[in-house]
Amino acid sequence: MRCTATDSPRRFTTLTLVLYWTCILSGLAIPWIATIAVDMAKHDQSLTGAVRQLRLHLFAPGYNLFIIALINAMPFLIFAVFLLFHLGLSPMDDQTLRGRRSAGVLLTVIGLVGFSLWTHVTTMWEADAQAALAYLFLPFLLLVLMPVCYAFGRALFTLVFR
Amino acid sequence: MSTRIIWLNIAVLLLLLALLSLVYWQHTGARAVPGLIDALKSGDLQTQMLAAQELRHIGQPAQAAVPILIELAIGQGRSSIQIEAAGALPSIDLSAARKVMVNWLPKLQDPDPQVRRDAAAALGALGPAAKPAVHSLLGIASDPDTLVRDRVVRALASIAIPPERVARGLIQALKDPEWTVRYAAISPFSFGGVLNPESLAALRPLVHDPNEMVARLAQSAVAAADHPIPVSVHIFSLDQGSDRTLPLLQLTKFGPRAAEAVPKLASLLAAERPLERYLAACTLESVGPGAAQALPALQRTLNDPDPIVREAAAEALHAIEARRP
Repeated sequence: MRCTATDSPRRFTTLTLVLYWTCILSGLAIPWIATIAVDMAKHDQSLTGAVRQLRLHLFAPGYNLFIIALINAMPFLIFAVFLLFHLGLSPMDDQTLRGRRSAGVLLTVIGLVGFSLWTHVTTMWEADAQAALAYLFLPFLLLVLMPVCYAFGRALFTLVFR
Repeated sequence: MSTRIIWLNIAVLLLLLALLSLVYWQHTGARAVPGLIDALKSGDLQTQMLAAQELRHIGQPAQAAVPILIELAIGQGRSSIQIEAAGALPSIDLSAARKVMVNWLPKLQDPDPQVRRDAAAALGALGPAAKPAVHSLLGIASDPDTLVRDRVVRALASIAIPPERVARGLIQALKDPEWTVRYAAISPFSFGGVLNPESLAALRPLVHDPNEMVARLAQSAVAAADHPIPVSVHIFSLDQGSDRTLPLLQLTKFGPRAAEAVPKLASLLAAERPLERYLAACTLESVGPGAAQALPALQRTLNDPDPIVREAAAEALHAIEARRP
């Protein structure tokens, strides 16, 4: 059995582009999604109220949620460009290689999104001035996480579809 | 996938980044001021407070927001927006901050304790720009209302200059029967405050204060006195970061002992921000005759475009020359 998305070139192109834009947009949106989620879950805000709070704090000194989103997005952008070339230029006649690469990339995207979302939610939930340091260290941690997740994804594919 | 599709997607990403940069550029600095003025007029407390904070951050380029900030700072609205609007003014326009001060000063004598509390809080929000209000604040330091005394102590700590008079007020408050007032009075000594022997002597008994929080804060203040932050560190801080307000205020507390900072302070008399020029002049005033080296720079500052800076320079010149042997 092979992953069906990697079977036809058209499907594979679509998968690559979906992963590319998912990676970019989730990198930008995660801090905002986390803010809205924490406002709703912890502060009992309605969705409208939470979105309004987000809008108010985008450029407010001491909050700067817009800049936080850009900082968070940096490793995601780097990985998105990598995956675009890595999957986009992979040989069409080698389905096993494409499958391995797709599994590595997919697991990395899941890992990056999961780790980033968890960090943002816990940081906002605790609401500590020192916790803001997490926003500065997070991109570096995500950069370290990338090759680990990628290697794990490839290894997993090899194990499952050997 | 063709290389054309790859490069097309990279181009779209670059376009997205350019768009995000444009959005950021539009919402920061002087370009954000019209939107923030609208936010101040919105009537929504949180929106107004965040807008005032942002305007404070923008500083001088937010001149267009001064009339509405004055209106909010002296208006009949909630105390929190009065405080936030007043707090934004010194970094934008020192004269406007003084206008707010003049409006609140008579209210320190109001028969209604809530009005006196609001007045003290608003004056405190003005920070060092409300230096002339220290005398009036000390006048109600023994107010029968606990919250008024608490606000007065906090206002004195925030205004911080002239350091000797402020320290005298704080030392007096250390003996207040209410623990919240004593706690507020210790705080400025505990967090980076410079202790002189008189304040240290007043603080020592509070180490055994019946209130645990007061006792603990007093212990940390007394412990901090054993390892004071040297003047050189504050001089170094003046070259780091964008906000020089705090290191300048700390240097003011040193008085004549800050003489080694005089060359740096003299150079700050030509700083871009009026608040920094004002604080540099105030610090030179507190140094006194030891700041004689800064006399030419202070003479030049008498022609400063800001009247409050000119006034501070004149007071500094007087302090240096009058006390010279």
